[in-house]
Amino acid sequence: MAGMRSPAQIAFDPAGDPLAVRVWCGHAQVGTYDLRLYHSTRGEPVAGWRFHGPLRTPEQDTFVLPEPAGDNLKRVVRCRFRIGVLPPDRIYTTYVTVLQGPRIIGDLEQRGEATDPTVSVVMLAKFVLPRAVPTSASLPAESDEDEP
Amino acid sequence: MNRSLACLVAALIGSPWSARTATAQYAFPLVSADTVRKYFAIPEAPAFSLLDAEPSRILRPGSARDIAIGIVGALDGSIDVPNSFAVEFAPLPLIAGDRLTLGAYQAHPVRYRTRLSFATQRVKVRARSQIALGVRTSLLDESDPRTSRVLLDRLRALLERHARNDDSLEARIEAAGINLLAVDRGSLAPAQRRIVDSLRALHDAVEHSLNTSFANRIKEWDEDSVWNRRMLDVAVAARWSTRDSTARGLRSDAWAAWLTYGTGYRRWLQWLVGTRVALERDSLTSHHVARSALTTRLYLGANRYKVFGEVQGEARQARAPAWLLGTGSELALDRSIWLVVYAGWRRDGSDAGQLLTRLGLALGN
Repeated sequence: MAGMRSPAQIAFDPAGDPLAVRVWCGHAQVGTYDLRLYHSTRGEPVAGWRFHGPLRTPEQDTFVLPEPAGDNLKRVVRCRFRIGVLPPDRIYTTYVTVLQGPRIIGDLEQRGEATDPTVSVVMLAKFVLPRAVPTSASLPAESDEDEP
Repeated sequence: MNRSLACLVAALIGSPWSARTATAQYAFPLVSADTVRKYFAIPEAPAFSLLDAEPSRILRPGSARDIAIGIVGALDGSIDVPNSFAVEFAPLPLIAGDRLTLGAYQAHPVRYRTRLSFATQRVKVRARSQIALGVRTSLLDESDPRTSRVLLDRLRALLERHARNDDSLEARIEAAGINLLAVDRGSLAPAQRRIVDSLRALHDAVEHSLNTSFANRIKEWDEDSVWNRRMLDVAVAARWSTRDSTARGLRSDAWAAWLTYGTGYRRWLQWLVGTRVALERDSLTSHHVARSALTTRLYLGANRYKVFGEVQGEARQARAPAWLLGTGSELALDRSIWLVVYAGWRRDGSDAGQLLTRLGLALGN
């Protein structure tokens, strides 16, 4: 399974427009996704917010998070892709794009070269306040203020 | 290739069949069948077919960066036309591939199938440098896996089974009281890691089985059902030559266009018709000479073993037309090694005719 080790931190405006998550993949590959929302990195799922199915178009695979936007502070979006690699390519790229209203506030990307016919990719994104986003130099490898 | 196949190849090459070919060679003028058959099929890289010799090293870049590196390497610090450089690539997938969705590809498949080929070559005999540029695309290609609803539906069904297998694993992990996000982050206590590893064993076995099915679906599609699907390919290419490597005295030498249509019946018959129109400068008179060829070929069999018959007519400016009648077979000895047998009769204007033969091995899928 390919994926990120720590959630990417997405700064957003808690008083702003609703948040939405868009899932898609490049290199014209075929795939499925399973999208879930957790209250925090402790892993309690947000009831009733889960989407899964075959990847269609990015617009069709865009899902609005619970409103108001501020409710999603510290929440974690988890997307598990299963990508089938079509010939002649072996390369895949998966995306989790986070929007607030019409504006893209995060564009996570995972690129790889498949050695098997299908590959599983997990991507994580955590919603934080703008001032809480650490610089890359100060980002600890396993930082997580929600962990007990 | 297994040993028996190797023995078969060796036996064929040294067989009485070869001796009969040698007899024919004595009785009739013998030329390579490839000399005339090249007019039939659209070349993979049209630019290369217009050079006097196909380049031995072809750059097939996987990214725009690879192209830049290849050009810099070929130029080797100068701005002259490189002695030998050949590149073939599909520009749009290279530029937009990372962000190209399946839906976008399906909306405009022709533009994503379009391939460019470019080559340069120093011709020592004529003391000229040649530059060739070609474009090839498939206007219709029912063998393209990305536009096949049937194949994609089958693959999506397998991916759904993969997803259920992944769901099942994650449900068991959560039922064991383990935080799934901690598993994703690799931050588990040793005892939890052992539990997850044990739960993964069953999942991984199912995953392996489904991956095998996925690969088999594509392989079946590729080998058994694709070869006689409908296709319409078109290509154009041009060649220029210069007096020296600084591109002085640049002039156009040759132009060529190809069109091939193919269709099938059930899984055992394929009919192809192809045409090639070319305009080439005569090296003595410097005038351009036009020629065109129309060929039709009928295949019987399956992708990995088939026989064919073909008829070709070729019209040339200020010369009598030429005709070719041929038959042959293609047999896959291994995944990528083919035995090719061909015999044909070519009549050029009013001459007595030539027997064309070919027995050889070819590489391909």
